[in-house]
Amino acid sequence: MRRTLVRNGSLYTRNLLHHSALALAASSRPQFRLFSSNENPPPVPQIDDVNNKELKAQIETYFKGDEKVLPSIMEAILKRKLSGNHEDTDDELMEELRMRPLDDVDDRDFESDFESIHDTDEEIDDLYNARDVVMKRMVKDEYFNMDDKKWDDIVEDGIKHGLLRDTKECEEILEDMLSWDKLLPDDIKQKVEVKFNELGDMCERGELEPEEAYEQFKKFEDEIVAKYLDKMEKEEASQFDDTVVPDKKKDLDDPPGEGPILRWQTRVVFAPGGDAWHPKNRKVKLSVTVKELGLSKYQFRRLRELVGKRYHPGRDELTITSERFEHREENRKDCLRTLLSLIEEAGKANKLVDDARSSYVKERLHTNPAFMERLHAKSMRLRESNQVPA
Amino acid sequence: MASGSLKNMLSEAINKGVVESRARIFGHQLNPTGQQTPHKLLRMKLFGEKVAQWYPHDIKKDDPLVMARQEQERLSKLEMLKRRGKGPPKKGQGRRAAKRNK
Repeated sequence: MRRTLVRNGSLYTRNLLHHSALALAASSRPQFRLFSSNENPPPVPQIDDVNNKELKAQIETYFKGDEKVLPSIMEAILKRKLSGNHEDTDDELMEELRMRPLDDVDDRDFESDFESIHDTDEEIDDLYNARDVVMKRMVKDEYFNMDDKKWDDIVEDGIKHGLLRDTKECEEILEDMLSWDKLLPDDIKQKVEVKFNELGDMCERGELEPEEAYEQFKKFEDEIVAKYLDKMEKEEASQFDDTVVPDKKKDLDDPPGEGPILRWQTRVVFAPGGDAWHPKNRKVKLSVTVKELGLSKYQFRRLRELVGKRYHPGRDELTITSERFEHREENRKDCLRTLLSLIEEAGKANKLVDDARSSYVKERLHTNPAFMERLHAKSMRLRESNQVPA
Repeated sequence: MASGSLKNMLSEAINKGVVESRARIFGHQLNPTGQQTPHKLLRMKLFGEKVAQWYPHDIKKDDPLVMARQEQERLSKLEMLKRRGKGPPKKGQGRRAAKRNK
């Protein structure tokens, strides 16, 4: 602001000097202006032109130290620009003055606004002593430069002095705040939503005023909350009753025992060079506990016949090794394929045993003469009964 | 009548088709009659390249000029040996042929 004013002031000062230097030109130009004003009578009263002498006097008073004159100077400049009578001389003076720098400009005036708008921390004079500065601030302010350890200490003090008696309750409240969407069951949410939509529609149709609708919604919400509290109390009572009864055993997805069902053994050789392939990395070994497979007695016996020495009776462990392919992952797939095929093949034992048992029974009956005689007689009677209706 | 007890029958039923299944699952080659088969050769991995790389690569063989000069030296040396009566023998007059006549 002040810079622009100073520039314009200098321009107008030059203008005055120029006019005083050339008296003849100055005397001729006012006459021309008078003619133009005579030609255009209507705009004359609107434009209140400021004289060069008046502007010069105002600028001189400002430079002497009177800052109150500043707005009047600005108004004068605007009036001269609006009148348009001094455009030529002003433009010439501006072009002359652009090449000359301005000396008396105070930067503090610009910085004062910045300081008031943007508040920053106090500057540290000696940065080499930052540690001492931080220590002093920590001594003054207990909550300066907080970290997890300090926070834990504060919480511990609170617990000791009895301020924080039940941290579990605090955690529950925080969890509820974190997931407040899940506090209420879905049916209550739907009821509230339906009521809200109804009231909204009534407001839009003009049947209800927004204030009355809000009051009704508030009452409805209070009723819903009261009902929910009653339900919670009943549920708590029922839970208390349930605690007396021992817990029922639930079906768990986890199999018995510890550790994974499939145990893989592979070798990784770290060799120099970019290529990670090494012939020792190829082999894959898969171990599985046969009990985990859930086989029946006959299936188990068939599996043992199939795998032979791959089964270790002491550890009840079946081991399948593969180094058929060049890459380890392909060999892992081969191991899995082999294991699944073995399980499928062992599963056929039940059917084979059933067939064998039924064939055995049939053979025993076939060799029994009394049974055969009765069977023959029965078949003969069936034939006779069939022939009669024909 | 020919069959024995139930237990034996069940055991036989369990072990029915085990050999063929094992061969199919583990990729074995069945040879119940014990005949000679080429399976052993077919099963082996291709190792020709590995045998070929036993000796290191000689860079001279890539340059025809060097090989031509060596051939020229060999021929000139052979000619000198022939002139001195030390060249290779004619057919039927060598050590091997004489040995066979005995």
